Amino acid sequence: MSRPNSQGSTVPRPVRKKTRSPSRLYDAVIPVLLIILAAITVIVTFVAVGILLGLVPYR
Amino acid sequence: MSLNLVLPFFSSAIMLVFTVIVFRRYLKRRALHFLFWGIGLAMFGAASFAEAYLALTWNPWVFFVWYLFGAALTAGWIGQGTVYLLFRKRWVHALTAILVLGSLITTALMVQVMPKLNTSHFTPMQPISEQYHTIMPPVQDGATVRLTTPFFNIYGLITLVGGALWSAYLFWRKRVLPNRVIANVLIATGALSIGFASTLTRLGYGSLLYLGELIAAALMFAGFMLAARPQPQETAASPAPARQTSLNA
Repeated sequence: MSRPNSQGSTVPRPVRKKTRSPSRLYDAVIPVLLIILAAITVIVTFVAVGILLGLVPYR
Repeated sequence: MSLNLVLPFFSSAIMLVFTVIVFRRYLKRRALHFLFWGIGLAMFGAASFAEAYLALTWNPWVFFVWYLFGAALTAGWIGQGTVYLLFRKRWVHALTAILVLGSLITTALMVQVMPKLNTSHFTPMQPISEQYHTIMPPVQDGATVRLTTPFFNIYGLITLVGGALWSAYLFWRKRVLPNRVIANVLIATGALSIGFASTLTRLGYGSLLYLGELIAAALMFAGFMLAARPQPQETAASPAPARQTSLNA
């Protein structure tokens, strides 16, 4: 976790502490939520592109 | 007055506070992403206020603000803030030039359509999102501005929601800053709710737009504040912290 600098002394490498996941529920729910939100984003984007291209009728 | 017509008042109040906080952060840190978010959020707030105003009475320039900011520009400008946060490259400035140019063209097209508005179709106490398509002429009769809105909204949706989801994924994968994971999920959900409601409005179902805006304003504000909350490990972290990717960085 440390390496010598130009003067030969060692300087501790900065460490970014990891935090433990808040819960198993957090570990299980977050990826599912991200996938669902990404899927909805793709669908809404496709509909918007369809509107742009005139493939989806709009008012 | 129906509940639906009251919602824009709450949305504009939330967006006013949100905008002030973001601009204050820009003045403190001088980071461009805060500037673009601030501009986009100010547009969002102005459009919400315009909706509230148009629920009471007609004014063509308030309609101008509602359509230009609410239907066209807001999403693109907020999304550009996220692009500045995630990609600190020179090509982002080129995208900004395109965004500014597109915004100016859209503004000119909106000015052009103003004399063609059919205000005889305006009904007070009815959401403007449900009646704007009878007030504005069709594209073929001069409302070319209506063709521009999907460009901004698609760009804004992909950059804002995509950026928030990507940030959430990175923090989750690295097992750091769970508050920013949840914050970015809130921001993505909020941005999606307005994107979804806007698309439904374009398809002729405008009654959900105000609710979508209020949900977006509340969730994005909550996400921003949650991400800003200092965490114990942040104070103990390295003097050269890893690159920030949260929407509140």
